[in-house]
Amino acid sequence: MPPIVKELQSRPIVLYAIAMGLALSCRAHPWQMIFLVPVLAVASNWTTRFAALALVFVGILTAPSPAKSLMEREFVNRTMDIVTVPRTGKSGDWCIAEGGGTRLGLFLGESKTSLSLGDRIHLKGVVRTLKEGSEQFWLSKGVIGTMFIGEDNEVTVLQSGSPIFRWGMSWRQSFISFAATSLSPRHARLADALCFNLDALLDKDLQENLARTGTVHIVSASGLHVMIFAVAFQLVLSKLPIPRWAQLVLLLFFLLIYAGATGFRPPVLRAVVMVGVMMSAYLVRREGDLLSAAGLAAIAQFFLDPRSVFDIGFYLSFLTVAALSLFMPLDAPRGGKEWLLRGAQASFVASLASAPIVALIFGRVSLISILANLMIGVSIGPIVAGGLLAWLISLVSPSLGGWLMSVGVAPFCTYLEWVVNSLGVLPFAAVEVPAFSVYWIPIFYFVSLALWRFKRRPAP
Amino acid sequence: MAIQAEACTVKFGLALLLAFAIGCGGAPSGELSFLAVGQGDCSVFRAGGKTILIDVGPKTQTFDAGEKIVLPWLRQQGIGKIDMILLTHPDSDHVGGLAAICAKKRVGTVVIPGHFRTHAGMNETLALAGVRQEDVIWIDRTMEADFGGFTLKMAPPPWNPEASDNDGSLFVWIGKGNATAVITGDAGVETEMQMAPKGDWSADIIHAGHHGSKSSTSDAWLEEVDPKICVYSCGRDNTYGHPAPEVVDRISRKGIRAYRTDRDGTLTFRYENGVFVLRQ
Repeated sequence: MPPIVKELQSRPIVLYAIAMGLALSCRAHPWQMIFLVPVLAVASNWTTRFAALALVFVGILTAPSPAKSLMEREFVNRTMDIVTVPRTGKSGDWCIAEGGGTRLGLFLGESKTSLSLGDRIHLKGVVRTLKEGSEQFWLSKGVIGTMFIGEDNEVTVLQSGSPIFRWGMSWRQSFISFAATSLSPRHARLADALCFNLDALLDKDLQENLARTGTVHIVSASGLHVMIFAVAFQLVLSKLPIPRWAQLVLLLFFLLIYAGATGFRPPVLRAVVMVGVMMSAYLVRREGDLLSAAGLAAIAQFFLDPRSVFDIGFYLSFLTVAALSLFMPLDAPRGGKEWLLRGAQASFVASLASAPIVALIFGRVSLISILANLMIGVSIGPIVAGGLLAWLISLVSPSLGGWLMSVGVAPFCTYLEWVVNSLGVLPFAAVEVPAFSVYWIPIFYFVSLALWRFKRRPAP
Repeated sequence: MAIQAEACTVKFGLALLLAFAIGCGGAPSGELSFLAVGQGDCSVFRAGGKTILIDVGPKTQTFDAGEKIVLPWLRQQGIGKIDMILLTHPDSDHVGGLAAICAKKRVGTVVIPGHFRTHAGMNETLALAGVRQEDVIWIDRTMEADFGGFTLKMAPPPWNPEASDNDGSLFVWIGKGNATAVITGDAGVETEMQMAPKGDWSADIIHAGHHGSKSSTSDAWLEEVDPKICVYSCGRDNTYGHPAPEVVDRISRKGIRAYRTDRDGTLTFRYENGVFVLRQ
């Protein structure tokens, strides 16, 4: 029996997540249900199979239909719910509203309306069709049309959602204002992008070079950011005379606010759930299991937003984590040299795991991502943790906070920009990949899993 | 044993890669695509392993069709080199995507009507895209060329600088047997009338002039072309109201089957059994 089968049998939650994911995509790709056969075959007992089938049933019931764009403008006058945290794009802040079986993209523009996840609103106005070029982006989120608030279109908040997400947005706004006063505009945009996922405002050349160096993930809030935040916060909490369970509650509470501030995208939710699971293990003094935690996070994501199954960020995030948990050594590195080697190893595994999807969607693969990720790795922690700490201090002493930003964060921003821009312009930094069928993707991962062997724990 | 199993897996992987390389597919014998680039034009003709772009899509402050639509489509089709780009006239909804395309693809020659030789907008577009003057062919009279077994006719209409740029649009005719198509950029009714007597323009597929504006695709031009299929290349929910109801009515009265890039998306007609057939 291949080792991976044994590994999956001892982690049924991963099988549940795969089964539910397949069921959720059944309306768009019905024949993919055939993959359920190997999933059920791998399960070690009938209890696992029945549990997987139960989730398949739930998945089929909640499976989203493929969205179709409106072809003509349409007048709406209805109550809807905000289902995403507002994000900042090139055309200003936007979010998604759902109601009456449809989803609409709302551009908040210059309007002073403040919307947040969970708000119930009344919308009155004209919905525009999706424009060519942005159609795929919106349709993957189930959005069939967009509305610009303020252009004779009205939105009234009937009921506010959870304050947690509003706090997150206030925090983000406060950080943006603080960064704008304490850093140069270029560095401020970089700090905003790294700390709060505001990547749309970065200059085009830097965005291009981030893509060419395979480091674009640093500016879209991911598990890395949540980990940096969680580790820094946990470090502070562990010094306080409070019990472990209180540390966990506090950490999760602030992580939730941070997730809200960064847009609550699938990679962030994944990381929050995983931190919760791993920290719970720490609470009961047991060892956490990354793969099972990822499986649980995927199921949580599916329940919260079944459309995640069409989100490319979802796959990149989960595949990378799964690959890291399967292919990285379990022992802790000792000494600087080993840390460096481990960093390169992690970068290699993550790059390889995400390469097929990156190649399929973006049509190119970075050849220097391992080097680039290693080089910029040292600057991400100081920018994210240092930036958030400086912001916190600025609430008490604005001048000290500002000084910390200019002394502790700005040099790392300069360094990061220098690395990305220097490596990104190299002619061999990235190669264009011809288009290929999506069905090569499962084959690639199948071969990778077949190559996988058990990790041996070093003797104590 | 374990080593043997691993070697087998590696061989299996290599075999898959080989199959992938082989399965990348060959070039079609003739294929004409009207890309859904929004409010603008971009058509791609492929034959005999060569590729021509007729206009390159629009560019606005927030949207570059060259980057967002044309390049991804070319990649999807496995097109690495563009042998020729025909620019019908200098409007940004026709030439806007040039810089993005030239930045990422190898481009052979660029063909432009000769009367735009001194057009500031056209020269600026070429300069921005880094197109060298020696790679540009300015055509002043009708030219015919063989392109992968198809006849490619390019005809610049008579034009004076006082007139609208639209009326200087290049007329393009592609044909092989009964597989024929005509594209006229944004040329208006008067230009159509001027061009009608200058050759045989009959074609199965007509690309409605000026995105289906009422100022183009006259009854007389339809009589001349006598098409079976009409393609409107227009943006979804465009503010110009293209295609104009008058033109839609005119086309439907003649029993011509019509397709719209805003509703039907990118339309591809493949050369099959001597005619162009819409690929589903």
